[in-house]
This record gives sequence, C-alpha cells and structure tokens, in this order.
Amino acid sequence: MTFRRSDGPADRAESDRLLDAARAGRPPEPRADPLAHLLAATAAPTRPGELAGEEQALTAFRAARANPAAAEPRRPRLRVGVAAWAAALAATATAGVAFATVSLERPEQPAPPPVPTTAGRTGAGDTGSPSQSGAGSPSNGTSGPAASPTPDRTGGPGRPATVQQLTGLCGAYLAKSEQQRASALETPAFADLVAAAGGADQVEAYCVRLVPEADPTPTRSARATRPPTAGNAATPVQPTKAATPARRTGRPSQAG
Amino acid sequence: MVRVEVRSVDLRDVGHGTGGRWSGDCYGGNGRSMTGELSEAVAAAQTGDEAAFRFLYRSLQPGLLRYLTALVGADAEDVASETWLQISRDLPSFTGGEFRAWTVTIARNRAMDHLRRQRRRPSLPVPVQALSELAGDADTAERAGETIGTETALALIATLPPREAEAVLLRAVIGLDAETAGRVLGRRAGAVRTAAHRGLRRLAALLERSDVARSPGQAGTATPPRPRTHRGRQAPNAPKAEPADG
Repeated sequence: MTFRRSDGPADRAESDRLLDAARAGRPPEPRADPLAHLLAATAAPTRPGELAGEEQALTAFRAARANPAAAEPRRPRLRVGVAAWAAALAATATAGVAFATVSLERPEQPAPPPVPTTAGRTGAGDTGSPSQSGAGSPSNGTSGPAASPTPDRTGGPGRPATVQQLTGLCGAYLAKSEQQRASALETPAFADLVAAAGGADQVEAYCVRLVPEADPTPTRSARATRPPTAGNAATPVQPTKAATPARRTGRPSQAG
Repeated sequence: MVRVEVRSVDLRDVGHGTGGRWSGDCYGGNGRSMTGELSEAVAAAQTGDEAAFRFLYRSLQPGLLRYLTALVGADAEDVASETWLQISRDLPSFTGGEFRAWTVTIARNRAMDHLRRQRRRPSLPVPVQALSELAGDADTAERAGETIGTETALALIATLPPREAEAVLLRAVIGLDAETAGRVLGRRAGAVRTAAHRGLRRLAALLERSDVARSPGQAGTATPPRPRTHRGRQAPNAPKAEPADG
C-alpha cells in the first residue's frame, strides 16, 4: 500500500466538514490539508474588481422599480437621470438583441450560402463545428479559401457593411475552427466585421450576440446537405460527425 | 501564520454611502445570522430600498461571479450582469425560500444559455496551465505565508467533471447546504454529497500530483534553499502522517 500525503477526505462526512468550513469562511489551520486551503481560497473575502458591476446592477434595479412604481411621484429630477441611465444601458444592452432580431426576421439570409457553393460551405461547416475535437484537422485547410465567397456578398469594400452582411460574415467566422479564426480576421474579407465589432478581439463576442444561433445553424445545414456530398468529397468527415453529437449531448445532459 | 489570501476591499470605500442599516461585511460567513440578514434585505429591496439591494449585490456577487467563472470562464462577468438584470426584474416575484439558491439558479440558467450559444467551448481554462500556476502559487505562498489564490482554486475546480464541480462550488462558494444545492441542481441531497465528495478526492489527487511533479521538474528557477520546502520532495518515500485535521 502506498501512503500519500493527502488522500483527500476519507468519506462524505469528512467532505461535508471541509465544505462547511469553507462555506462558513473559517480560515484553515496553518498546517491543514492543501485541500482545505484550496476550498478556503474559493470562498475568500471579496476581491477587488468583483464588485465592478455594482452600479450597473443598481441601474437595472432602479429601472425595474421605475416601471411598476410609476405612481410614485417623488424625486422627479433624479428620475430623469435614472431614465437617461436606463435608456443608455438599454441601448447598449439591447443593441445586440436588436441586430439579432433583424437577422431573425430574415431567416433565409444564412441559408443561401450552402446553395451556391455547397462544397466549400459544407466544408467550412464541418470543420468549424467540431473545432474542439481536432479530428477535423485534415480538412481544415480547405476552409481558409472557402471564406472568400463570402466577401463577394458584402459588395464594395468602401461601403459600410449592412447587418445582413455582418450576419453572413459572422456565420462564416463562427464556422471556422479556433485556429483559423485569428488568421481569417486579418484578411480583407473580414475587415468590415472587425471594424463593426470594434477590434479583432471583439469579433467573437460580437458575433455571438449578432447570430445567437450561429453554431447550430451551420451544423444543421451542413447535416442536411451532407448526404449528397458526404459520399464523394468528405470521407474524413466521418469521425468528426461522430464527435459532434457526442460532445453536444455530453455537456447539457450532465449539466442540466 | 498562514492566511487565506485576504485581499478584500474595504466596502465602505467602494460604495457611495449605503447608510447604516445594510453596511455589514457581505460576502463570506454564510452562517445563520447571515441568512437572516439576507432575507431582511430581500424584503427591503422588494419595497424598493436601494441600499438593501446594494447589500444583496455585495453579499452575493462574489460567489456568483466565482461560480460563473468556473462554468463559463472569461465570460463570467457578462453572464453575471445578465443575472443581475434578471434578479432586478424578477425580485418582486420572489416569494420566499432560500434567496441564495434562487439567485444561483438564475445565474446557472443564464450560464447554460450562454454555453448553449457557444457550444464549441467545452468549459474552462486550460488545466495544465492552472496546475503550473498552482505550483508557482504554492511556492510563493509558502514563502509569503499565504495559500493558493482564488483564481487558481477555481481553475482547478473547473477541471472536475461538471457534476462534481458544481456540487463543490454550490457548497463551498455559494454556501448552500447539500439539500438546497440539490434543489438547484435538480438532484437529491445524497447525490450532491457524493458528487462533492468525489470532486474533493479528485482535487486532493490533483494537488498531490502537482506537488510531486513540482519538485523534480523545477530545475530552471533560482529558488532559495530547496530542503526548506518540506512538501513534495520526500513525500513518496516518507509516509509520515501529517495532521490532516484541525
């Protein structure tokens, strides 16, 4: 038998004691188990920065109060300020939603890509969605150039991109694998998107807001179009196909 | 003396005059009196008391943010904002029960939505990096008389299987008991206890491994006298029973 310095708690009762100590905020003994220190660290007192959203939360609170409590007439001047705050907050907070709504009203917009350039598009969709698995890497090389059809739809480079164009760009961007995304953003094809997002590092968050269903959509359309293409073009797709549902179902079922 | 990373903010400096009533220290100490104070503040906030709401925020946000950090990584702040937006909105409809559980349920739902939106991301920061940080952290900690940092601890917990991670987080970070955590997760208290226990054992093994890996692998840095670190080195062949309990 090997003796280890810290085997961890022996039973559930001991685990409960450790967790209760952490939850009560009791600092561990100096010589206590490293595990006790780890748990204490997770429940450590408030750290700088953790309350950074306080005013934002307060604003939300006031805004929420302002609606049902419309009968309450006190502090009119303050309420104007509050309304302005709330409006500003709402404008920033819902900008993405507004874009998303616009894009939702045009559901056929993400759909066209598969139709004209089925091979290239499907390839991008396939390699993009299981980007974590790494199994799709053999075919990754093809989707770099596959992005080039997209900028054609954005029209001239001089014009500001429309929401639909940005949605399309986001779709193309999100369909790429992690490794390809950074380099894709350096191409002129995605310049509009980078500009709209306010920087290359903002693109991901921007796109997720703009195209909330971006991930499922390409996957689904890729699936739909796969039967015709799968046989001839994409033999290596087989393993990635298996990987996608596995990973998908894994997470939510465990968590939720 | 070893201290738990105390880098807390003086809350009186942060706020803009909360008034005397809700000015107690907030996060941490999830004891019974704390729960009583919390429900008083909830009732006051439901009538529109801003100071009470601020108190709720300060009491709950650190835990929520840490929980969310383990669930969604760098996006935790965004998800936390969404959570507070919904808390503000739905506060009038809160009808009693454990407020902590209510808020963490909201946070959890927001996090799940977020993860659904970006499925490709498995969950969390790189475990390997966390481990090497941990090693460095532990070294520094030993010299400075401190322990593992909160970030590192969360990153390690985040490497656990989701069920176990959540059980540990809800118990230690949010401060729920096993029954309440079970309600949040839709599982029995016993299942939560088992998951938490497995998680802790796994964490202990992780700590052990990083500890052992640290001593042979640390040739590069100019460290002060090695023999003084009494962890790790002789651990494999010196089965001394350290007092693990307090």
